[in-house]
Amino acid sequence: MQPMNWIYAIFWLLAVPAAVGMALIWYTDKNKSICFSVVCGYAGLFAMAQMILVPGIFLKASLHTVVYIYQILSIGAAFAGILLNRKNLKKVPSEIMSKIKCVKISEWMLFSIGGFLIFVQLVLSVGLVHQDADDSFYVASASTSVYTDTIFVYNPYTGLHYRRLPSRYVLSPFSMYEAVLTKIVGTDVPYMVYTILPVVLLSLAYLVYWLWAKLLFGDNRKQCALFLIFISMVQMFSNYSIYTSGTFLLMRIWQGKAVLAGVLLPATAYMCSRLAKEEKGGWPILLCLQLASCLVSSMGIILSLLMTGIYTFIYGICTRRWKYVGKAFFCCIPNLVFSVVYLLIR
Amino acid sequence: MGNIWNMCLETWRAYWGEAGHIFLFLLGLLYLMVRKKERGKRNILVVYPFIVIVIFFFPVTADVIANYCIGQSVYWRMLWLLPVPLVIAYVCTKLCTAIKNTGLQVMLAAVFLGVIVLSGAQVYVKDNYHRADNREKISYDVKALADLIRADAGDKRKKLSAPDYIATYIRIYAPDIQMPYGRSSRGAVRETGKQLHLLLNQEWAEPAQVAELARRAHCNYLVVKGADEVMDQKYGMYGYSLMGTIDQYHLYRRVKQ
Repeated sequence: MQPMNWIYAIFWLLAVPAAVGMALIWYTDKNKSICFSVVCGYAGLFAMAQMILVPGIFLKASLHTVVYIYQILSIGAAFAGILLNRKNLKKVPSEIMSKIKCVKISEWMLFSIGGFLIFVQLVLSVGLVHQDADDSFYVASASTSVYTDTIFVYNPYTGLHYRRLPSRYVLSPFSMYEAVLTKIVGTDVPYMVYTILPVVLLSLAYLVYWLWAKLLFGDNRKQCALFLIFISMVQMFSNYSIYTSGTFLLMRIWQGKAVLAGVLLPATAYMCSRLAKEEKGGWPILLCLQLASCLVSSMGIILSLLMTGIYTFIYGICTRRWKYVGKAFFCCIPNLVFSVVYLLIR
Repeated sequence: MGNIWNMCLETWRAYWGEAGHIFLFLLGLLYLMVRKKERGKRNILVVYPFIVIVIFFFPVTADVIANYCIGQSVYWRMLWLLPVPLVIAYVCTKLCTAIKNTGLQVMLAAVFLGVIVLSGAQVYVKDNYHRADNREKISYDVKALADLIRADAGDKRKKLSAPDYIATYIRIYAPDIQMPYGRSSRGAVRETGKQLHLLLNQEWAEPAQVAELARRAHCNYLVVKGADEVMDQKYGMYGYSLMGTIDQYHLYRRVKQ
């Protein structure tokens, strides 16, 4: 990759998600942080991609058209995020510095161990290869799209025209989103999917766990750091079967179903739990997470719906908080719509 | 109902394998249920997983989810809803920091890490990974074959028949190369493609038959695994001349139109 492509990668995979996230978290009550805004930003961008790609597939739009629309909308959302938070942004560096100064040496050591374990996983995701036969569909779909400048027009197995659209995948076009990112960054699909995205998505998974740490332990930094160490070790030793979420997270994070298991389901659970404590402003984020789950996997349509349903039962129905129930139901509407569409087109 | 129950049990067993993380998870749930101080976290870390487990095993919900929503073959994905890493990490952290003495905390943390390691199975093992041959992380033989075909054909149409391993991965790297079938003959629209896939994945196939099917599938390139000089000559007789060999794969180009 050329230096310019690295700049594009940092801009589109870090700066834009953080800024988009700022727009989404602007109205939330408390616990605003850069980590939270990056996670929310990705949820927002995934949701945006789903809203662009699914109609694009049925309208037979070209890939470059989709890329333009995605770029315009995401830059608009990022700009809105910066504009809305312009006053808070000035305080961010000083707040980060003051937080860093408060950290004790023992806590630094624990954070270093946790950070090292995650860093090792990131390095291994770059240096090692895991061959997965499912890539013959997922990654080849992205390669075919970039090569032909189409979305789901050609069969990735053969390169020939689809006779009939693959109903399981057209409603969850994560591989097309990978094609969009590849075009934007200006690299090739295998490098994007096997090298850049694992770093981004693994980091995102641990950002979600960091948010969990903050939710469970509050400002107790020692416990937060220990939690990160334990959770990264649990993930690294979760290969007791090929089915576990840890195996998917570390071995094939570039596939949509792995993003669902490793990033979006923990993020949805986090958001549902957070909304139980603090209702104000967080619902659009849950809505984005539901749409994001639809983007990454057809399984995500039902699993995120089920998860939100269970949390709604616990926090809404059992405690008779009908507002919680109503808002959660509203957030699940995309899943219900996509489920109906799936039944109609399969 | 009995079938559904068996399916749930088999799925549960297959998911957890031989490892002990399930016991760590269940012990963690037990600890959170018993400890009065943990009442605030019970909804997130105990009630929610309990409901997931009930839905997973309850025959009616299992039947609906497995047969009408996600499919029996992937019913194990329901278990992704369980917050296993969260519960284990949370309980380990709480137990470690329950003691005031720093030395004991460190020792306890080391013990817990040891238990996590010994009761689990490592992801980073030789069977799962190998070092990257190139920046695209495509195996050497697949990339070399694609490069040979591209160098030979240029911008002209390229259609290839190859054994399953090559057919599975080549279009990730080279989407400009068309195929009559993909991984495990997926995407094959004609019987010719399926027959060709079967033949090319046998230990030995009659060159005349393979060449005829490849011609009928309009393939101008053909890869055969483990061919020898005699086979090369035979393929030459039937219109496919040897272009090169990469490891055990022989690449042929169609010469007769």
